[in-house]
Amino acid sequence: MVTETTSPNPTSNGPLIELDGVAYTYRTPGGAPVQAVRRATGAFHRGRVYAIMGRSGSGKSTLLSLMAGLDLPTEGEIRFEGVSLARLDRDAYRRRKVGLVFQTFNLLLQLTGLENVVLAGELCGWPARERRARATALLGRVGIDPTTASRRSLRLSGGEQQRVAIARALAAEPPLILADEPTGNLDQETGRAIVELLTSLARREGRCVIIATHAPSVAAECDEVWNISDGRLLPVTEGP
Amino acid sequence: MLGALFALGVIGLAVKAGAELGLLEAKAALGTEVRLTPNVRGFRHVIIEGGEMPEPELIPEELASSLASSPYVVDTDRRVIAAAESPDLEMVELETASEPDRLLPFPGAGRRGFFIGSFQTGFRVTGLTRPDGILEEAQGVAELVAGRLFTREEAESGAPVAVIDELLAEKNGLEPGDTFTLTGEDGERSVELTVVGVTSEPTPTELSGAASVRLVLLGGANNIYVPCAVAQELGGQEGLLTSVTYYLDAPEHVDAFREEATAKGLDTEKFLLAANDLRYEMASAPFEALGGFARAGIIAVAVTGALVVALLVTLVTRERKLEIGILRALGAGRRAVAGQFVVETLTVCLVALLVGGLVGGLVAQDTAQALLEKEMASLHSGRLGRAAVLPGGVSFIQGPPPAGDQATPEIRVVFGWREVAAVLGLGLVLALSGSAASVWWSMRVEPMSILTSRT
Repeated sequence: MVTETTSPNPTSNGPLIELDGVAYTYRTPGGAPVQAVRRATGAFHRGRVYAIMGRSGSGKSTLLSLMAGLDLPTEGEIRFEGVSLARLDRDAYRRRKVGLVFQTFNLLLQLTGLENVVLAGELCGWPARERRARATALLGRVGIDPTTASRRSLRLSGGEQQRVAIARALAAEPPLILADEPTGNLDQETGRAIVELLTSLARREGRCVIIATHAPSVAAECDEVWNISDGRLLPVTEGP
Repeated sequence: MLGALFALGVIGLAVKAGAELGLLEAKAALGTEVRLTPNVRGFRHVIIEGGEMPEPELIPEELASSLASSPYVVDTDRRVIAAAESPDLEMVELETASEPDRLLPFPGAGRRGFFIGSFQTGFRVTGLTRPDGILEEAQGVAELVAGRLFTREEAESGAPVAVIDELLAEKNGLEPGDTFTLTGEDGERSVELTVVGVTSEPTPTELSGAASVRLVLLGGANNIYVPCAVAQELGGQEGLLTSVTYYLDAPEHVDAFREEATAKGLDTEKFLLAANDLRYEMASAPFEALGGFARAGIIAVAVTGALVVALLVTLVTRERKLEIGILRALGAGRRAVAGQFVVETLTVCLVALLVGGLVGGLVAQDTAQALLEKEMASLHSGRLGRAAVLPGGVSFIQGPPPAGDQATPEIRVVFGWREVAAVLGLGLVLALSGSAASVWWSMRVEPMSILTSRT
């Protein structure tokens, strides 16, 4: 569980991240163009949890990857704190501003849970002497004890792997958490705990959490729900 | 696999270095003698094509003296080969272990100064100015059994003295102090000679293969050694020589001496100035072949190794696309990821280099010796078995010599700074190849396509 809280940035009243007519087309290995996202527009604020719903292949993962700065839109613009991602050092942006959580956890399986978090800490500049202690503390915040953390990632359960992945995403204390189907590979109970953990990152720590999911039960826990269908992003509900 | 490649590379370099050392030693052992002979190489074609035999041009003494004045020359041996008959002596009949009909005609056979006594009706008379050459001539197996060799002064002054073979002495009841008469080929010139020494050398039937053929062609027991001037008189070739051997002060001066001779106007169309070429060739051929083999091996290892390493790294990098995608998602830049792969590749190469170097170093000596023996066997059954040479530069072709004729030399592998540098260079080639592949492939990974499972 998250035990440490941070306040939302009081100086930032505007959206943390905005999509402005974002479209993304890629080519298949055969060369055929595929338009994964079509003119998506939306704004996402700190302290709130967003669900982006859609069927498999609807463009959810692509949209989250674009928001993570893994690539740039082929049309439109994504702005983080008002600055276009195209103008940012996107590697540094991912290191400092974004935490990514994946459906398949994407831990480095040859490393222990602790080492996965240490690696992320190393990338975001933790001092060498502090890395293990800070990683252990971070894992503790998401409910992973040191014994579990010392096991190879391959030997961790799905829920434990996802908690380690969330701890890794928090290494830089980023204001934006992007979670792509974080409960997709988990049983219902574990999934519920992970969603609770993610929502607490927004509600208690003031981060902006965006969850791509096709599960209504996950969406029900979010403040706002957006639907993406055939690459088009539309608001569905607005939470409390 | 990398370790094995490095081991092969180290072995190749060690073998190459050992072969080069062997060549140097062969050169040092054989290279101080330079022989001046008439150029009869072109006659071979005349014989084969059945044309008229040209007259070989003998060496003028002025030319021989001019070259002897070189500062590199410490001694000379002037030689004249002549044919003679004797009213006093009965010839020794010789048989070779090899079939005589295997011998091909050689340039100058039957000509003035170039005939071989055993195939003529008379004696072969070898005139020389360096008496020590008598015992050195028959491959160093001859020994003095009675009397003495004639002196340097006798040789230079043309004293009427002779050294004969033990068989000839026995057949004719000659001892040191006895005299006999030799008559030149034209029957007009006669010289009465005093036997001063008797030598013993193996008969052709006691030898086999190349050694027996060589002995017969030298005249065997019917060869009579006399001072150079005596042979010139018998052969009617005053002022002319069949060959001159120059003994130089150091093997490294051979090339300089040759250049000096050319500068002094040596006509290379008429005369050959050879530094024990065939002997050197025979001694150096296995080392050269081994060195060439090693060089080819090193190149093959470098090229194959570079390709193998690049391929392996490519496969490994492609297998680790997800890892690259994750690292990129965590904010690692392309260069940082590529750098990590380069460091990994270099580490693997370094470990492989150490292990391969150690293993290669341990087996290099035995491998080199085994390869040299293989080369020797191959050369014996191949091209070297087809060529031999006579003093005077006359060459002939024969069947393969018996295996015992040439012992396998020792090769000593060496690891000097040059070899260490070469091994490091090889390591660098492989490491760079692998690094380049890892950089290429890791930079090409698009994290978005990996993490969204589009590929």
